[in-house]
Amino acid sequence: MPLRILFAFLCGIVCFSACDDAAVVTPVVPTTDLKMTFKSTYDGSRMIKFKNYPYGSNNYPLQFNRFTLFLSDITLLKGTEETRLTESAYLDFTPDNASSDTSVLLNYTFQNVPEGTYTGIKMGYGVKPSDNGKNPADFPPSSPLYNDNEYWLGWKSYIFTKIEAQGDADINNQFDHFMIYHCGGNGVYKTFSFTQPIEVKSSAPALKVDFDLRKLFIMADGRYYNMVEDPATSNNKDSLRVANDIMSKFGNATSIAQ
Amino acid sequence: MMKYLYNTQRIWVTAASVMAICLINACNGSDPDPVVPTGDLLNIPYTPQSYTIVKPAHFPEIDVPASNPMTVEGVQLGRRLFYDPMLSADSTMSCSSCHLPAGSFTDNKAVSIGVDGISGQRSSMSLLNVAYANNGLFWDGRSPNLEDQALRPVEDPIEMHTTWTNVVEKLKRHKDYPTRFRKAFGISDRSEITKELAAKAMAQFERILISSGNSKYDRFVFKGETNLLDDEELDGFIMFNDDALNQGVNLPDAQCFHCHGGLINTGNKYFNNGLDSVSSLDDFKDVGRFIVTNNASDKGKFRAPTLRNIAMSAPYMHDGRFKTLKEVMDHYSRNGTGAANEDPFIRQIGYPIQGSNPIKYTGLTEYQKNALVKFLETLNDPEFVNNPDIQNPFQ
Repeated sequence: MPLRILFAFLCGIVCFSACDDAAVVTPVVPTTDLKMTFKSTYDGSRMIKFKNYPYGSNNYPLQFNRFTLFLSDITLLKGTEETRLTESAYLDFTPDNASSDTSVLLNYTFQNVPEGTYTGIKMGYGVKPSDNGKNPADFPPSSPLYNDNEYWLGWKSYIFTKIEAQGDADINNQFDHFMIYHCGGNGVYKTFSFTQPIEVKSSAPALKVDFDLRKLFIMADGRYYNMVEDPATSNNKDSLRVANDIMSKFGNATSIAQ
Repeated sequence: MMKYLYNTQRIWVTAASVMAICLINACNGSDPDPVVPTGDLLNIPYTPQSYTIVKPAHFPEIDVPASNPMTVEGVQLGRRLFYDPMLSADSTMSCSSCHLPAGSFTDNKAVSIGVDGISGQRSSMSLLNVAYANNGLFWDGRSPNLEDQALRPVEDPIEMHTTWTNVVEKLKRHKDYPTRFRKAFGISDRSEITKELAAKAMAQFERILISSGNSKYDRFVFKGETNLLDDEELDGFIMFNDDALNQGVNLPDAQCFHCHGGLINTGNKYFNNGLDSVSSLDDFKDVGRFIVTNNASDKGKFRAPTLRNIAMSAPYMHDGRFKTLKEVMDHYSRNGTGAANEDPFIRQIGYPIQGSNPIKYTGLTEYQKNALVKFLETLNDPEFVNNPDIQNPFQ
C-alpha cells in the first residue's frame, strides 16, 4: 500500500513538473550586434568643413564649420513593439581631434539586439525633457550627457544641435555672413519615426543614418531658409522660433538605409 | 709553506680582480651603480587607502581612469613630486615653479622660464579643475591625459631639461621616496620605480585640484543666494550667459559662455579667438592645435581655459599678451580680425547694428566691459588656493 501511494505521488510530481515546464518555456529570441553609422552630408555627399556649397536662390557659397547633434531614445520599431537601442547619443561630426576637414563618420554598435526584421526606427532629436531637466552633474562620465561643453547653464538646457556656417551672401569673395544655430530647450525637442525595413542579424550590414544639412535649411515651400535674415539663435529676439524651425526639419533631413 | 704561498697568491689575485672590476665600473662613463633588486621594500606594509576627491555637489563626477585609482598614498606621493625641484636638471625647478597655488596654479608670467633661463613660447595654464580636462592638455591638447602630461615638462629642453632616467635614478636612491612608492603602488623593490609611476602619482595629486564650490558665483548660481551679486556683477553675469531675453533686460550678448560654459566654466575645446590678424592661416606665429591634428584649419586655435579664478591667473591668452581682464574685454569687444577659421561668436559681440549688411555688432561699452570683469571676479575661489591639502609639503 505505501509503495503504491509513493508511486502515485511520484507520478503526480512528474506530471505537474511536465505541465509546469510547458507553461514556462518561451522561445528564446537570439540576439546580435546592430551596427549603425551616422553621417553628415550636404546634398547627399559627405559634408566637408570650409568647402563651398551653393546656397540660396543665387547659389552663394556657404561653408559649414561645426555640426553636433544629440539624439534620444533611438528605438527600433516592429509594428507596435519597440526595442530601445540607447537612451542618448552625442554626435560630433566636426570633433577637435579630426585630422582633416571632412566630417567624421560615427560608428556605433548596439549589443544584444533581438534578431529579426524591424519595420522602422524612431529617434528623438535633442535631449528628451526627462533628461534635459538634469545637468551634467547628474550623469556618469560614461554618459553622453556628462558632456559639460554642451550644457547651456543660462537656459538650463543641453544644446541639442550646433550648426555653424559662414557665407559669401553678397558673392564678393568675403565670407562675412555668419550663421550660428545653437538650438536647445524642451520646446524644440522633436521626435521623428522612419519606416524602413531593418534587418538585425549577424550578417546584416550596418544601418546608415545620414543627416543632410541642405535639407535642414529647405523650407516647406522649397525655398532656402534665409540665413542672412536669421543668422543666429543667439542674440536674437526670435531665437526660439529659429531653433524650432531648424529642429522641425530634422525629420526631412534624415535618411535611413541598410 | 708552499700552501701558505699559494693561499697568499690566491688572495692577491682575488683582490686584484675585485679592484679591476671596480676600476672598470668606475671607468664606465658617468652611469651610476645599478640598483640591484633585493626586495628591499617588502618589509614596508602596502595597505593603500582609497582617496575620495572632494568636489562641489554641483560639479560633475570626476572621471578617474581605472588604471590609476586614487589613493591617499598616491596623492601624497604625487604632491611631493609636484613640489620637488629634484625633477629638474639642476634641482632648482619643480612643477610648482610654473604652477603656484597663489596664481591658481599658474606662475602669473606671460610665458614661463625654464631651468636654463630660456623663455618658453606659452603661458602656464591653470591647473584648477584640470581633472575635468577631457579633451587634451596643454594649450594645444597634445597630451591626452594627466598621466601623459606629467611626463613631458621633465624632458622639455626649455622647461626642466633633464631626463627621466636621471630623475628615476635619483628617486631610487632617495631616502624617502622608495618607501612612498611602495606605499602608493606596492612595488617590492626600489628598482621598480619608473617614470610612469611617478606620473601616475602626480596625476592623482592634480586630480584633487578642484574648486571649493564656495565662490560668490557658486553661491549665487547653485546655492540659492540670489541676492549676492551687485547690479554690475549681475549685468556681467547676464551678458556672459546671453541671458538678457530671459531676464527681460536690455543688455548685449558678450558670447562668453559658448567657449567657457557648462557647470565648471571650462570649455576644453579649441578656438581661434581672433587674437592675430593674418592674411593666411599659414601666417600664425604659433600654430597651436595644428601641431596635434595637422589639419590646416586648426592653425591658430588654442584650448579655452577655465575661467575659475581667472582674476588670479593673469596675464591672459596662450602667450600672456594681455595683462588685465579689462584688456581681454577690449580685445573681444573688437569683434575679431577676420581670419578664415575665427570662431563666429567672436564677431557677434554686442548689439547687432540695424541696417548693416552683413550684420555687424557694436562691441561693448566701457560699463559693459567693466561689468563683465566684475562678474569674472565672482569666480574667485580663495578657499581653493588656500586649501592646506594642496600646498607645498616641504614648507
